[in-house]
Amino acid sequence: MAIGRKSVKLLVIGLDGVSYEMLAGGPGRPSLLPRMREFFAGAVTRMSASIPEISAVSWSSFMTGTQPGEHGIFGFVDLAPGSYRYRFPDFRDLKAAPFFDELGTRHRRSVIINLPATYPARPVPGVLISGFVALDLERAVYPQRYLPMLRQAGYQVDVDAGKGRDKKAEFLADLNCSLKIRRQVADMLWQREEWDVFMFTVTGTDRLMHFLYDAYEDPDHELHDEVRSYYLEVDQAATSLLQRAAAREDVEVIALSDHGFGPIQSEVYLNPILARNGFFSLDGGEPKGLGGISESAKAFALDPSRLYVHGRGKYPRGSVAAADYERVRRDLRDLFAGYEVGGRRVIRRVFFKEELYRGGQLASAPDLVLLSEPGYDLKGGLEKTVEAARSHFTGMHCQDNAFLACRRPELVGEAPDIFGVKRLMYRLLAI
Amino acid sequence: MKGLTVWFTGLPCSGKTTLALKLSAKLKERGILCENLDGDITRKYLSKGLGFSKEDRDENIRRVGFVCSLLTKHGAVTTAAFVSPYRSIRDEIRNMIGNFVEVYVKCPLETCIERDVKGMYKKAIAGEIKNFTGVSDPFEEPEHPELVVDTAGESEDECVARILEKLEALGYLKAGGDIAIPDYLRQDLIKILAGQKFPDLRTFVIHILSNYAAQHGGPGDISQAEEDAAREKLKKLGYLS
Repeated sequence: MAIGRKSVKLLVIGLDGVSYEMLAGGPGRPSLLPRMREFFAGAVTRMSASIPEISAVSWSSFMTGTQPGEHGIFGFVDLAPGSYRYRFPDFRDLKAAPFFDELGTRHRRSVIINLPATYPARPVPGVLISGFVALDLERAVYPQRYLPMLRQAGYQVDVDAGKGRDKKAEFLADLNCSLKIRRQVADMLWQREEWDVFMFTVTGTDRLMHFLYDAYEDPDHELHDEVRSYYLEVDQAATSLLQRAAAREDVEVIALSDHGFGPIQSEVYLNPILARNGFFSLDGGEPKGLGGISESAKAFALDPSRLYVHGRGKYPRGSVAAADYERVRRDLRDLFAGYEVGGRRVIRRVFFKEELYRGGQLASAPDLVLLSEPGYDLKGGLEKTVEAARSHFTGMHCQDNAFLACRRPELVGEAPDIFGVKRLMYRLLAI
Repeated sequence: MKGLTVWFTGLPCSGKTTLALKLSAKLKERGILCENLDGDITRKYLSKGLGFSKEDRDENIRRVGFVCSLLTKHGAVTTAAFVSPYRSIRDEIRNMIGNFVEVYVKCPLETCIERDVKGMYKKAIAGEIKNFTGVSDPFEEPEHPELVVDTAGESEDECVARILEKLEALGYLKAGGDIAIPDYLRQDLIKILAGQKFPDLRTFVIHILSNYAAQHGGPGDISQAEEDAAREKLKKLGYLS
């Protein structure tokens, strides 16, 4: 603690994609993180993620305490304004202040390790090592004086997820190695830095479940034990920090995930559905990104579950007049609200953007957003020729089973969704 | 900018004076009134005649502390590099000075001996110098320094950068340097900001600066190659279909 300044500090453990059930356990399925479960002694609650329930949106919501209508991150990919060119929103697109900037105005320092949606790293009051989708370590670190140390430690911004498809054993080894190094870096920064908030995020938990959810569920799967073993390593890394914090009287702790996880029954491709129902078509037939969209197209979809009305004046070949905008949106809602695969309902709810978002960035929001029933993984699927299929992915994000854990049972219920976690953090920090 | 004393303590040859001079130069670059004091200067002009017994050493530090307190009171930043091995006198001058930042310059004894070009350690080990800190006299490590720098493991620039960060974090320095805002502008801004989400002018200015840094700061634009790499990463995880 800084001399002459009595203040509470906070350790935050972020576990990307860990569901409430994975932590809390359930009938016939023990906790994947038993030490953490014991540490929090039952003060673990189910929490809702953002919609869409993807890391870029959810972690941005967490760090700013705002919803996408305010922070402006609606997905991993957007279209550049007035064009069909994909662009990848990054940390510079975040329109609301993250907690570490706000704490900086109060002379409080944060150490942030591997938090997604913070690339490229920029000056922050403290230390920032960006997480997914970080591309280049050199641009993922602030201050730069830590770069040589990270290089020497063999720190990688991410593992090669491509191995998750065909080289699963190698993939698991990479995840374990990456975790080990991140842990070393966390230990070093814990000792070397003075901080008020220390955040350590593990993203391998998400990577693994995309490819090996079936192995997690099936005790007879050849990699079942390896999956559990990785999670036990994560458990040990997290609990080691938590116990170190608990040994100090001035450190509060919380842990959370950005979304939950569940098994995939089928992937569902929105652009082919739009095409079959007369809302979407490509000139020339061959998909080459949305650049080939025809003038007659009334709508298109972007990953994972976002629908856009192809408005005149908003897009180069947009054809829907402002007067028809509401009618097209209603038609889209009707289409998807009743959409079924194999006789089963796929969409739990269709949101108009203003039902979901509010704030200064509403104009950039998708016109409609879909929330699927469990098991149906929504994708744009521009290049797909079928409406639904299975792929090599076995797990998918879930919106309603993220978790939040706090050692104060009376407070853990105060953040029923990820937008409220920052408020809880400030309460713990006595702000 | 309010006055302040940055007090460097540590074994002989640990790097105190080097860091104090570097810090002083950095502060001067920011236009901050700055003075540097070290043992060579003060033993010549302020404490001539004092020896190296504990009493004399304490008296030397007490005199230096008094000068620091005057400089600090009048708004200067003083960088003071003294072995100052005893905890009690360091605490005494901390109380005397008030705005006091203690930097413990940590360095293993062996490294200090290697760095000793004057051969003082050698003489102390041979018994030719009495009461030599680290050899025949103790060094009482600070219990609660504002900052510990490790000159064996960190470069001079790294140490100075961390000291500047610490001074910013403690509110002695403003991040990015001091910017004088004319009073008429300050008053106008306060009026404009009344009722808005910024609780004070400082928060507003930080918001403007951090947004500017976010848009124009070090990271630069994402290149086409990086965009392609991002696209590939997202595809591998099924986030881009």
